[in-house]
Amino acid sequence: MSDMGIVAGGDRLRDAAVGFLKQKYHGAKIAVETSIHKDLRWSPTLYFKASPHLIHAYEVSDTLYPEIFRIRRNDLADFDMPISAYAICAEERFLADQKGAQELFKHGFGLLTVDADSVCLEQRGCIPLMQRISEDQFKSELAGIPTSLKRRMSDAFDLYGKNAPAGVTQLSEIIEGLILQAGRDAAKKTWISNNQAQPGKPAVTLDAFIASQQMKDTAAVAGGVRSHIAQYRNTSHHFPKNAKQAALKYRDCRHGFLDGVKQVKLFAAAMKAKGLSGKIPTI
Amino acid sequence: MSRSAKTSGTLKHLSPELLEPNPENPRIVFRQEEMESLMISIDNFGIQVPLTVYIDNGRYFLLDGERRWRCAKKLNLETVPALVQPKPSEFDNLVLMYNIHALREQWDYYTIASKLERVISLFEEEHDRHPTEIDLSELTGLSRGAIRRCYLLIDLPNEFKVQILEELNLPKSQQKLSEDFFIEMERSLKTVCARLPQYSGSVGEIREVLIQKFKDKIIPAVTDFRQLSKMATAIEGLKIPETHVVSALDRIFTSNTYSIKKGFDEAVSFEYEEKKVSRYAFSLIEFFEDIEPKGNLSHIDKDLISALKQLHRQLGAFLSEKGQA
Repeated sequence: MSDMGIVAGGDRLRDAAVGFLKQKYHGAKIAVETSIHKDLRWSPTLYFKASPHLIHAYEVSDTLYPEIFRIRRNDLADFDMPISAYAICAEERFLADQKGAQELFKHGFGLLTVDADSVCLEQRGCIPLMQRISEDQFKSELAGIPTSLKRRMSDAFDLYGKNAPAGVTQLSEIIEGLILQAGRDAAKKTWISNNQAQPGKPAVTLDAFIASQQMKDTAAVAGGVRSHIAQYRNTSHHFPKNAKQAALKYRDCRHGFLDGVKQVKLFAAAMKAKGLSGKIPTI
Repeated sequence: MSRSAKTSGTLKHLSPELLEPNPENPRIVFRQEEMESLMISIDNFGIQVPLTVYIDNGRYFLLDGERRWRCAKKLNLETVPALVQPKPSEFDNLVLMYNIHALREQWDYYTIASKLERVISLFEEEHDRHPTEIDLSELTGLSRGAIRRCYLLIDLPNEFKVQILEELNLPKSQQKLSEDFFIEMERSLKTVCARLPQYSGSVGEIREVLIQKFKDKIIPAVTDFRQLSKMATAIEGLKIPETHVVSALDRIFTSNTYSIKKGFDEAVSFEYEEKKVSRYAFSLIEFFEDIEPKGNLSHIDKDLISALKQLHRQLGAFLSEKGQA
């Protein structure tokens, strides 16, 4: 392949990355210096479809953070197509510029490095930019949540950074745990029956809260949580039928996760206000 | 193609995908930093100056604008403005490349040298003689100094050319064995070999030692090579015994720790200082010879008089010590 990008001598990095990606993604068909879509003002060095609805795009760069990423970051986040964007640079650049690497990762990009023997390595995976939630945004949403819950939610956030639908699902499980514990606490107080506080039946528990005399003032919060679970509980299992649906699903992940964090906060606070623990069950 | 054809042509808006780089473009190194600046400018303001292309068998080849074209592709632009010209001959194409590019911006010398060899060979075919520096300067628009520097690079063994190309692919700040290094080294070795032909047979080994010493910072600056030239020319210019200079050069060319500066200091530095002081002394004499008849002595600055008095005292002491007062 001849070098037609904007980096002289980038062909060694590109060829090493192509070999690595073909092996990792089982002979994926990789396009070189080709446009992904006419409306996206970036032709990456390499790209391929990791699934019918997810594109992995790569930019060979002499620096850790290619300038095209800076000028197209917002476009990628708004684009109606889930695209995970990676930089490819020499390993020595990565080792010499950890600050640059942290900035790249913080902004939601992944990184492949190529060493002097042309061995390629994935230093950091990433999710499509349309799903990205910044760490600062996540942390600001955590204020006021009990520490034990924060820890569990941070785990979910880490998972979200690698696999967004799985992160949303994990957060939904935390919410279900909260509902289960609240149900058990309420059953102990005989506000609802034991049958209404069973694992795997969050909707039954929430409906019982709404019907209960003692908890009817939590109806709004319970309703919000109920609707969140209905929408996002099985996010990772819904297969999109087309690119538009895929974009919606991927973008929904972001909404789902942020909404989930808000629901946890509201629900835990409401349960505490009712004299319940507002925590998740200990296993 | 006539030279006037350079500015004419039909303006079209072409998809970057239809364009191909010019096979004769001597520019082979594109630095990312410079390319990214251009890319940002194009992203903000578009392509303000049309590219120039020629058409051959239905395909468009770039005459001017490869950097803009590469940026346009990276930015996935739908079309780029381009002036379409008739296909030039290979010789005209090459000469045009120089005239379009080399005069507009500073090219790497290796880039220029790599295609200058082809210009020379096409010129020889067309004119049945080797081009002079003036011929090449007129054809390419390069200065004669630039052409001489290119010759130094053209004459380098292939392994060093490969090394230069590898270095050029790095950002300027990371380049160690730059073109300037090779140009300065070659120029000094040429001077040394012209004055002391006994070194001509071992230039290859000498280069290896000098490169290693430069990498090890025993030779800290490329300008140090000028001292090698000065050592060689001092034999005739300063009447320094050849054996004295050769002994220092031998150490520079064989030892891995002996610097050019040390050899220069030990062999010829004092004589060069003497020559410099001698020039100052003659200049001082000329000064007084010039102002005395005009009666300007009373206008001499107080600081100069004070310095002259000090000089007078030191000269008196020095010359009486030498028994020449």
